[in-house]
Order: sequence, then structure tokens, then C-alpha cells
Amino acid sequence: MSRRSLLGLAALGLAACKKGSSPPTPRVDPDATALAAARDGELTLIRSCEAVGFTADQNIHTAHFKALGGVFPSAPVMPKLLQTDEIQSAVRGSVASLRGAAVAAIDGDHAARFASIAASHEVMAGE
Amino acid sequence: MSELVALKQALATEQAVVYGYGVAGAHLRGADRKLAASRLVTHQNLRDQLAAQITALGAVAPAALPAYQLPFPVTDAATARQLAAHLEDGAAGAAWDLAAATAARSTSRDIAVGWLSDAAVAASRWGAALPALPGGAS
Repeated sequence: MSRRSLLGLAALGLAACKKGSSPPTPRVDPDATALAAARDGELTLIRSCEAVGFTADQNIHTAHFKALGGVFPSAPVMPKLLQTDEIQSAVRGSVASLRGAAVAAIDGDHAARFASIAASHEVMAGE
Repeated sequence: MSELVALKQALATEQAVVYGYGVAGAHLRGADRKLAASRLVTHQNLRDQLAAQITALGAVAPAALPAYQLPFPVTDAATARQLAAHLEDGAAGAAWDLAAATAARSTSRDIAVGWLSDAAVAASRWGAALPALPGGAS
């Protein structure tokens, strides 16, 4: 059997599969869980910084949130607000998980963003 | 960008950073000089790690150039600190590129992630303003 006829058979096989197959499922981002967790953390920091008037930090966390693909919800979502001293420890505490997400990210662009946000949080925690 | 290309670019950056710290350190005294000396050792270690990683991938690590063009004249302690901040900022950028070009849980990715934080913290210690995304295109 020639290579061309084999290709023809393969095409027929694919067509047969298509007839009975279910509609294609949307591609799932393998980093979706880590991205969502990081966005949740940033949203909490944004709202907490806003509540205590840390405008500069709020702006940085907003940039992080957007870099993670975050879009502010149209309906008000109020995460649990952190107290002033809790903000600093939350930022410090997030460094390890963000770095872990960076190392484990399947998508390189996500990895770089996680690593950069971890770096930013590390600097902020040390200030 | 492939992992190998990113590693070679990262190595070239670190070779330039090591050279730059040699220049900066000569203009610094006291605590700043100690910091520059410590950063020089850190960057030398990183340079060697990157070269080893290139070799591990079966390629030849390019040698450093004899000298590098400085981004501005370094004539005193203030411009030396500026240069150090500039070097760390450049290192953070190369770390970002390396993180983006490497596979999950690879040695190169691990190096890149630690390197980005290290460079961002050092840039801040030299007085650089913290960008929201260290190493990212601004």
C-alpha cells in the first residue's frame, strides 16, 4: 500500500470519527488554577490597600492583578480585608507560592509573570 | 526563544554585569563597596551556573568580551550606584526572558526564578524605583 493511499485511509478515519464525536471542548489552560489563586491574592491586597490608604502599593497590586489576566468584577466582590500589619505578612507569605507557581507553570509567559510578581512582593516585604 | 538561546543571552548579560560591578566597585567605599563586592560574587556564581547549564545542554558557553560599553560615564560614587542599579535591572530582564523560554520544573527555570527575585531586591537596595513587574518590558 502506497504512502498516499495510507494518508487517504487516515483522512477517512478522521472523517468517521468526526461524525460521531462530541463537539470540541475548549482548551483548558494548565496554569488556570495557579493564575486564579494568584489573582485572588492580588484582589485581596488591592482592596485591603485601598481600605487603609496605601495607594502606591494598591497601584502595584493592580498592575499584578492585570498582568495575571485579571478583570475587575462588574458586581462588587468584597474579599476579606486585611489589617495594616496583615498586609505586609500576606505579601511576604505569598512569595514562596508565587515562586512555586513560576517554577511549575507550563506556559513560559505565565512563569515569567509569576516570577516577576514574586520578586516584586519580595522587595515590597523588605521595605 | 529557545532555552539555549535564552541561556546564552543570560550568560552574556551576567558577563557584562560582572564587568560592570568591577567598574562600580572601584568608585565605592564603605558599606556600598561591601555590597558591590557581595553582588559581584553572586553574579560570578550565577554566570558560572549559566555556563554550566549551557554545557549540560551540549553547547559551548561563549566567553566573556574583554570589555563592555558602559551605559553612561561612571566617575564617582553616585554614578557607580546608578550603574549597579542599572546592572541589576538588566539582570532582572534577562531572568524574565529565561523564565519565559524554559520548561516547567527545569533547572534553567529554577535558576531564572531565583535570579529574578535576587536582581529585583538588589536593584532596590541600590536605590532603583520598584517597577510593578521587575524584569518585564516597561
